[in-house]
Amino acid sequence: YFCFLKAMKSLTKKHFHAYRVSPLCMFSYPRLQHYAQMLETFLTAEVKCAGDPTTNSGFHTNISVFPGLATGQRDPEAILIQIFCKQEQKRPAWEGLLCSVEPEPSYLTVCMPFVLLPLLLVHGPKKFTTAWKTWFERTFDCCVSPLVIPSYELAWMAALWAGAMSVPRTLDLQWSSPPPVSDGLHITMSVNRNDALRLWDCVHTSGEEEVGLFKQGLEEHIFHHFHVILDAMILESVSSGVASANNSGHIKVLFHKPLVHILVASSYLLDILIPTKGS
Amino acid sequence: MDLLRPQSMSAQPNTSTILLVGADGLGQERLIEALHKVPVTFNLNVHVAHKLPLPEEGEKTRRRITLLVFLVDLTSLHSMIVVQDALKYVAPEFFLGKVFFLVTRDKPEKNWAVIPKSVVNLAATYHSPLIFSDLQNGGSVRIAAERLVRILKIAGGLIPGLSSTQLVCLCSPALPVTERLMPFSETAEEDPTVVPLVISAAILIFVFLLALVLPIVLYYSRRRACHHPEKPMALSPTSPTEKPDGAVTRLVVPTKTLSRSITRECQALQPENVGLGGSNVVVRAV
Repeated sequence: YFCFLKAMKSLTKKHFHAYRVSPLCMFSYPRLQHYAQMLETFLTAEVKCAGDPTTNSGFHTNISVFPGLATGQRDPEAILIQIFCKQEQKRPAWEGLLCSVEPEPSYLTVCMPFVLLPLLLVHGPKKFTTAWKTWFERTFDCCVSPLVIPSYELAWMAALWAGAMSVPRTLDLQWSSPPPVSDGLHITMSVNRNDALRLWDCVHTSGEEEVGLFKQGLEEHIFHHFHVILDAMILESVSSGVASANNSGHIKVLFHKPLVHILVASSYLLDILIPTKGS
Repeated sequence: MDLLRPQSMSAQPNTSTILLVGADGLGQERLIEALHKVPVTFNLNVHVAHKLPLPEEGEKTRRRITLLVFLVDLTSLHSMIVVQDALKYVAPEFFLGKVFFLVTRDKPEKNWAVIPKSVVNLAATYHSPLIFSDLQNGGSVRIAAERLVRILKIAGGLIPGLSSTQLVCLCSPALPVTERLMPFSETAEEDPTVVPLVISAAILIFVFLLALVLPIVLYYSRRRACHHPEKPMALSPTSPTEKPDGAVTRLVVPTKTLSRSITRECQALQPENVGLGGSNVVVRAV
């Protein structure tokens, strides 16, 4: 249990980019070490091709099973991919977590030899991501595309996190102007933690749809004071004491407890959205 | 009045009007330009409203609306709320092929504030077609405008042989299989003129059957010297006003059984006694 907790904690306080991955072909768990070696050789070859002498010449990769995230019945175990530079052996230069956390049943049900690990969380520099992505797509015949979080999901997350906050930190919501307005008007609203909790409690007692009411409450407050219709603007990012999320798929979780719930919510998004061409 | 009705104003010859209902800033200007560029043989007017009900000042001079287009912006929940509120002020007659839903700004997905499934379900509930169109893209606007004009021609009755109700049966969006919103979607749309025809046909059949049964009954009644006064009343139609004007109800009575009692019955069937109002009852001996 403790190593599980430690593993979960290692995921917190890191800024992740979320991607969606199509089912992997011919991926088998016993061959993880082999895949790690393949990745290592690929990365060293890439660096040699790039011809940049200043970068580190050697990499060490590690692909291992990450326990505890496969909460659903048919979920395969999560995979953690780490790339270490030769100089720094302790901290990975790049980390990727492939997991499947209770995706919607209406999503693909795959059979052998396919493995479905649809959610990918990446932490690290972009160059490693692109290099890894080419290797991964080529090896397992899959497609990796960025996961976007639409505004209505962000509003939902904001409402839930407001109720779960235990840290004295404000709930920050940021809106950006709609596309016709070329000059960007950004509205950032910081709600005090106690006020957010109170609003969330009020919303629970009324009996109607809670998330909608929570959002409506905040928007009416702004309308009352500034006469700005927040409904017509795009909710870009939400950050609270629990976690923060962005429109373009950046997620940062600060506590290990709601981690699984957030991953489930992200998996829910995989069902709704279809990857666009060229992403 | 509160509700927007399709027949509130008189129709003008060779003119059709589209009313675009939607929140401000959706790109209505580009759509209007594209609509005017479509080559048509009639006068096409485009009006824009940001909310319904329409203000009362222009009530007298308002043109009859042939097609009602609701614009929804996927990045703005406000536009969805505007459309949902406006739908309450539309009379049900409009939904027989005179309403169209147009959804804009469906890309990029990260800006969605409205769940697209909810808009699709809304259009399916109202049995109206829905298209996704990017009003900032010239080609897309042109295609949407052409499609709107085609539906406008049908709604305005400018295409012979195809009415808007028939079109609604053919091309309204289908509901997803797992979700059944209401049984309304499963019943077929009926043309408004079919119902009274069905009723009058049923009445004619009933009258004919009664005419066959009548002599037998009278024969027994003469024996028992009993009179059935309620027979003529049984032949009155349920809703005489729905019958098309000038309809003739024919009673074919066989000659053999023509007798005083029958002539008395036939006289009782005259319009003044029964209340068929406007239609003639012709009694012809065969």
